[in-house]
Amino acid sequence: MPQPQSDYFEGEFMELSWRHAYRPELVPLLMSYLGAQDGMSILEVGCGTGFLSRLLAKNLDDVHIIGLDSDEKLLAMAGEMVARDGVGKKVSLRKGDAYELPLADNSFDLVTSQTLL
Amino acid sequence: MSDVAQALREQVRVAIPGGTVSAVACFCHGGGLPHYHGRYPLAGNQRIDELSVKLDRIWRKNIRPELLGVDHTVPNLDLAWQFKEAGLQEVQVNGHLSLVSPGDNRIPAVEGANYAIIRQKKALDRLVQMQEKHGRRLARLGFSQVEFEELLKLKRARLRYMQEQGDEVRQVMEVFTYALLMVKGKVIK
Repeated sequence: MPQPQSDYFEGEFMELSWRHAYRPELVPLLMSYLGAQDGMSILEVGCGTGFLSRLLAKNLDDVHIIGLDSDEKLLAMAGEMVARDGVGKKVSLRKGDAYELPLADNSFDLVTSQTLL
Repeated sequence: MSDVAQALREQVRVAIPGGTVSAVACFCHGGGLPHYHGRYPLAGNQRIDELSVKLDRIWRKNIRPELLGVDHTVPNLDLAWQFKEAGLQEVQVNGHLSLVSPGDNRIPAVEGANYAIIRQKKALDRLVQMQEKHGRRLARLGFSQVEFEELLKLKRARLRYMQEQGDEVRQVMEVFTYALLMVKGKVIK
């Protein structure tokens, strides 16, 4: 039985790494490469601490983002960081399995993930 | 993931027709990212590198995959191919190599030093856990307890130095890299 991702990739460590990997000059490129635009309904699968969801929320207007992860510990951290970053109106978090998404067909303009696949 | 195709099928299912499915992938062979350790004025720099590389090879091949529930024998992931197999159209691939150095002048001095120190501390904590939980198995696979103790001793000395001489951390060329591959495709239903 695999261990929860949070047991292996400590949330604080992941957060720190991503924050430095996605330096501000990369953000516009990232948006374009991932196909993220203002006004979209977005799902991030395997959101972990929610770094990408929060980054998208901070850089896009009028978006609704769902961050989904199966790991409750990481989701709890993500919840704290969403509140800390003041993006709670744009980002909501859900527990769920990437192999069986608990979401309806045809729901999102963009479905994305970061080092999940 | 062990079943990328199933994960992508689900992502396509919940995306609208004409929508986009995309991913950031960590592009690296066997999970190994280049990392250049800075040269601190301490004995054992070379030895840390030798022992770290030896341990990492054994760990990544034999233990890490089963902890994460992944199969290390599968071929390298070709995400663009997987996207096409999932029926996504107009698949585009873009790459970006992020280099992070605590000495980088764009990063505030204190943050740069803290970054290197926290990484070092986390790496040391992980090493201690690795020894506690898997030390015997690693010894059977070729990384002895004596080598483990030597590596821990050297790493602890380096962390102490970094904590005591914070400014020095900015004077070495320690580098971490994040090789990112971004893939996106259009959903046609």
